[in-house]
Amino acid sequence: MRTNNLQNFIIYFFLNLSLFLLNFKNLSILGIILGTILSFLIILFLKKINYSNSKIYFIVIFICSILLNTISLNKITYFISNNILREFSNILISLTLILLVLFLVYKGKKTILNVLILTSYFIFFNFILGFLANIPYLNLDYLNLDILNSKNIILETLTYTFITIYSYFLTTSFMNKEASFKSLFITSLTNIIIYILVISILSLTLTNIYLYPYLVIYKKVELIGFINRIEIIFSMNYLFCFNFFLLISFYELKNILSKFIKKEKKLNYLFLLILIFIFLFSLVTISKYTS
Amino acid sequence: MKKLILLIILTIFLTGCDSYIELNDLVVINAIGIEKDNELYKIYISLVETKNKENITKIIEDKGSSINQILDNLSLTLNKKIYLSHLELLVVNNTIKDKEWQEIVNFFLNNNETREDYLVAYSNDLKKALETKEFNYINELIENNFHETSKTIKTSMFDVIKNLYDKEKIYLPYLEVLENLKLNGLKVYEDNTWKDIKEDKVIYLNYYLNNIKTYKYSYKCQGDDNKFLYLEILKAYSKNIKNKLLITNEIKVINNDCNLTNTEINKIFKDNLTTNLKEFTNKQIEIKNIIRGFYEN
Repeated sequence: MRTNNLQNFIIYFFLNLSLFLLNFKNLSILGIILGTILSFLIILFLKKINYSNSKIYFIVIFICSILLNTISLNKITYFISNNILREFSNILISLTLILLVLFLVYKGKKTILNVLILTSYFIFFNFILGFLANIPYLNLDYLNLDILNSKNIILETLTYTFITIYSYFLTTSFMNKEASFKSLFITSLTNIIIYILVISILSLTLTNIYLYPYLVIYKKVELIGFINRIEIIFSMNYLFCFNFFLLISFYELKNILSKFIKKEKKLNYLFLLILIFIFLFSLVTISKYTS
Repeated sequence: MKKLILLIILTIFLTGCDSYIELNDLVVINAIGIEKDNELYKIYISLVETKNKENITKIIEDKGSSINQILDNLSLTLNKKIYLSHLELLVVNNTIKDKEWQEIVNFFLNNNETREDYLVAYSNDLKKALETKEFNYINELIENNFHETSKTIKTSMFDVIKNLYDKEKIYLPYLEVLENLKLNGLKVYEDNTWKDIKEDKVIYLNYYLNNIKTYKYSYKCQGDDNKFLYLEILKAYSKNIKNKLLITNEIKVINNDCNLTNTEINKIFKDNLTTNLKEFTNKQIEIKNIIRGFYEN
């Protein structure tokens, strides 16, 4: 399959962005900066040793994938049930996401890539619209040196390092091409801008209080003086972003499994089994989370 | 066969329709008044009811140990689901202190339906304030005065939550109810106490907070009480930098009966601002006026 640099960048960008949004509360500006530097160093080191054929690499990625997919499915379901479909049951939200993933993963890489590239246009357009709509609500007085404060700098740095490295490996594996350092840098810069944007609209205090501050900023938006209550439209952005992550992450999970299991029928059954396990496990944890 | 299976699978997504609620079964709350009365919360809820094609504002009041409990009780008596998503105004009075603010903020932050962009105001009589005028009237009153006269401050629940957590002052527009409802300056909440700020001083507070939109300034000419210098402040910006408060005004001279020069107008306006701003800040004040209009010298 022909891949170009732009596709590679888009995949990395949205993978990193969705993981960044899912872990927004565990990050800080300083954490993002230090995390980017640390991940650059780790990637440079890993490039020197030939990791791509070692079994340990696949096992680590496999375990990380299962854990991260479960946690992310849980978080995305909670995000949807909390903000978009309040009366809807969690099981159905989770099931819809899983069915979408299942359908597209079986359709193959080409279909996934087409879906992702198509949705990326919508997300880019919606993000720019959201940014423009938020300009009147920016308050630069909120941007002081306090925004560099962090609760736990080590944890925040490690979280962002993990996010960057995981999305780097996922992109490299999915596109058969390494994500460039340029895309790593641009994505980190975008994440910092998003973080600063949220703080300059809500203030640091409110950013720390709200569970989804990046969604709350749209509650203030009023277009042309009378179009308001449009945060649901902008929340579709985040939803597409999270779908982006789920699709690639689950596809790569199947890809790693295929390295160990050569028979396709066996592979499909095992993947389905893992999917059901992740679905059930995420449901069990979400019921605890919401209660 | 495949299409049939797909259709059957798709039907599970229709189960969301099971919990739908008709608009008639919702109690749409537009405004709420909250006060504390002998260790109990007292809530006034303003609802709009349609009778004979006419909208009637109805005030319902109830008491309870917490806001959640009162709304639960109301839900039982009204036989309808309480819907807070369209809340536009919250009115409080001087019985609301730190503990009560915390209860109010917790209630609204934990409620998924509410949006914290509604206005918060202070009133001496919550019931009358909500009865006399509809929430729309009160909101427009605050909004217009904030933008046109700068004699009030528009405070949303976002600001209240932020200031409460940052332990900063909370400024609320004061809705005074005597014979009629009138916007009468501000009420300031700080350190568990409420203080007054008169309406003519609010302009200077707005300068300090960089909230000035536009307003008009009049000055009686010396030696003739019937003659006035009348200025319109088109734009004003203020910036707090360490020990300094920098202010820039764009002024239009509307009436200059006193025949003052631009330099004199500048001095009069600067002196007035500096004197009044000293009530709100100890910082050094630097004022720059740009005079526009027909009275250039």
